[in-house]
Amino acid sequence: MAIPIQMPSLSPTMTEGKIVKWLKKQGDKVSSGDAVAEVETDKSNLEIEAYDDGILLQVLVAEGEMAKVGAPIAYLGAKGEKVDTGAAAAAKPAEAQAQPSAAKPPSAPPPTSGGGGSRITIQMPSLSPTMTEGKIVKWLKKQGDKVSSGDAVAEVETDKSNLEIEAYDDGVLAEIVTGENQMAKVGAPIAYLTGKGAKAAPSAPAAPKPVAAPAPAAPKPAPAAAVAAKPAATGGRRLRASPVAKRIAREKGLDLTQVSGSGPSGRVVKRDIEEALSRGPVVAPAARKAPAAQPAPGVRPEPTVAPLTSMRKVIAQRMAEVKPGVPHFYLTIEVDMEAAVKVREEAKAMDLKVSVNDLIVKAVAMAVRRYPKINVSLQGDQVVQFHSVDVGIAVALEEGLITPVLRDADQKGLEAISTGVRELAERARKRALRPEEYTGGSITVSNLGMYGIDQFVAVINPPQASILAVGAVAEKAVVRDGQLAVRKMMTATLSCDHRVIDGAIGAEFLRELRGLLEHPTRLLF
Amino acid sequence: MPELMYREALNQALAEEMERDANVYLIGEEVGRYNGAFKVSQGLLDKFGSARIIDAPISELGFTGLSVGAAMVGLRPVVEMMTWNFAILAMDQIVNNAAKLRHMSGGQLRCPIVFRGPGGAGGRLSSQHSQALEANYAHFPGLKVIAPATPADAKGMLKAAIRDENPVVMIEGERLYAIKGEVPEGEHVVPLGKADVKREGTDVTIITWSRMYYFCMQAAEELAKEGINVEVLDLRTLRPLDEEAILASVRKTNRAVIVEEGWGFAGVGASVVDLIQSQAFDDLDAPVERVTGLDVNMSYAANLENATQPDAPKIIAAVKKVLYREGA
Repeated sequence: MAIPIQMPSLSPTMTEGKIVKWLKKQGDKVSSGDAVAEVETDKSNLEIEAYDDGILLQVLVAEGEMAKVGAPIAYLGAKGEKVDTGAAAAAKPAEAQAQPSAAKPPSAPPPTSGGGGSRITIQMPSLSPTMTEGKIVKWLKKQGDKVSSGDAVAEVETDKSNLEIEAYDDGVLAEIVTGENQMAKVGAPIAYLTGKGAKAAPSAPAAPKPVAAPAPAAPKPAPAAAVAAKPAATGGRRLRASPVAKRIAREKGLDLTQVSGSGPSGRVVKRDIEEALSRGPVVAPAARKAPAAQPAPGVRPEPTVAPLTSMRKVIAQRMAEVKPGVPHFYLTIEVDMEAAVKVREEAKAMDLKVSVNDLIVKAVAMAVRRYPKINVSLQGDQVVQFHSVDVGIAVALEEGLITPVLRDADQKGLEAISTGVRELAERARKRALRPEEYTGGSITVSNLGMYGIDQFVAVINPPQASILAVGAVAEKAVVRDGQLAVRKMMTATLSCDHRVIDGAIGAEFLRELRGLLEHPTRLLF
Repeated sequence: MPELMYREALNQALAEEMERDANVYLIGEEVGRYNGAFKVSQGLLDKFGSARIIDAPISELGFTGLSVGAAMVGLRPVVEMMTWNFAILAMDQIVNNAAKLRHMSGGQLRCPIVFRGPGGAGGRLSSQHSQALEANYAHFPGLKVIAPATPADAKGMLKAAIRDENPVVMIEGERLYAIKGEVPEGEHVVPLGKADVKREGTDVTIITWSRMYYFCMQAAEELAKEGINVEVLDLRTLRPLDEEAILASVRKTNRAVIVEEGWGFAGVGASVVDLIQSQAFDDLDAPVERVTGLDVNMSYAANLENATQPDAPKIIAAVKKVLYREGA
């Protein structure tokens, strides 16, 4: 009997994987533990192992192709054994996912009982505009009780309040589907009544569960048009410009984002471009950087289209969910970094490589330790309080980003933080992180200072509840003791999930963070 | 160059073509003894006789069908419609026969015929007699549709239409007939399908035809006082469209306003906008604006009639809008 090798789940967010390379060929002998294929997930490339011995009878998913988690990608079996082609075909990822139960038609509707009376369904009613499900607090009628139309049958807790629900028909409460303290979706049956004269039907079929949606067909590759030329964007907003303004800007290498539009809704129009050009060249960075890529005059370069990488797909999906799904608020502080910079210089003099970012990671970890209320995560209806301090570090990759997590950062010395962060970042760039190295953690540090960014706000990476966006350390004129002074300043903005963190908690945390960075001696204690 | 009225220019074209080619005849209501409802055929009955200047009964479908048949067998009829509103009665002959004969006969039959008469508002003639119907005819493959604005173009294009081997719908205008302009003498033929830049400019292209041309020129003069340099492109022929001329002008000015006497919905201007957006998208600095007749039936009251039609102030506002000027 051939044994399927399935696409394993290699990261918490992985829903499908791409076979980068088969390490065994059809006909090869495979022993349990042998790496059989290299798989690209949304996070990294990993080898997958066989759990059985046998001969690789058939490869179902070719190199470069995707398979859903759980879908068979190959069959192992005895030498000479034939794969049951029917089974193999049915298992093809393109046609069916390995969730046969989900694909089954919904269970047959409850038959009308043989007793002559008809069965009447009592459904979970919609009791508030936002209600999607309700909890049965208490059944006010018992199985076998007579029910008249208008009788309260159960007490239901909604997202807003507790309410009694009434029967709309007469009959006998034949079956309770949703027990006390259980939830039911709006519209789902919670009980059945049998009509007058009908016996309660103990043999009633299992209550129809909310109908499982049939398994969707394997997602088709994104249509080319969907990933066609991305609109010019400024801070996520679509840049409005007339077609001719765009054309002239392209021809002259003008950066449209640097031109303010005078048309309706800030549309950049031709006269704005002409004005900008008359003020001297405002060359787009790309045009300046890569003259070789400039097309021949008169040739308009066609946009290129490529499918989203697995990583980009997950980033796109998650970011689109996070911003509307997590109520963000933002707190910004300015930190005097003179003392922190001095620590780095002193470390350097001792041949110790410590970056400003390492100091920030250390300070964040210690501030989290001192203000554990920030060390939380909202997971479903539960608030998780962490007792270790694990700090995520956002690492930019060519095709996206990933946030490896430095465990127990508050326990580590600066040198250990420095080597730990560097090592994680390096492996992140090689896409060689293990799943446990980029999951968990309660806060992330995202530093764009090296790009000269003064200040920005970051999007929280759930299930974490906060993220610190760190800008560049730069000399600024500040007032000290009533005098103007030039100091090395840095701006940091904390984004918090307001469902679990309130403003005062974030503010206390930031005050502590600033204290630690401005007086780094405190990092020792 | 002599200055002639639009009606005189048409009269000259008819006379010249009838002299040149014995197969040309004119038929219509009141074209003979009455010398034409708008005096376009003044003196032609005396000159060419009743065999070639034919007074028809009030039966548009009849005399149009008769002439389509005559064209099929070698004559070159000019059918005068007292106005294009009445030609709706002859629509079947124009659309189902004239426009389709060459195609349906596989080229064995031809139909060199001109249908001509005034279109558009004449002044307090109410809704049934004030329609600009060129969009209807421009819709049909197999017809050419012309709508000259000036006396010179009227003469030159009628001559070209009579010489054309295909049916031509010529839209004139009651309010155009008395307009004067210089008209070249003798052989002056304006090719069909060629638009004419009547006023050169750099800032915006106004595309128009027929009587609206005069409002556009008026608007252009007003705008020149504000330093706005308007190009006025007179399409003259609506089918086939002079796409090259339209695109060349829009590529130069990056902005276009289309002015049309008829209703906007499914109007000729809509097709011009389509051409511009598909062929000159990257040259546009603003969405193309249209100034059209209001989407209502024409009123009899003079003030309402004027308010219903495009005029210079409406055109000026549209030009300022595409130029992103304040007050638009």
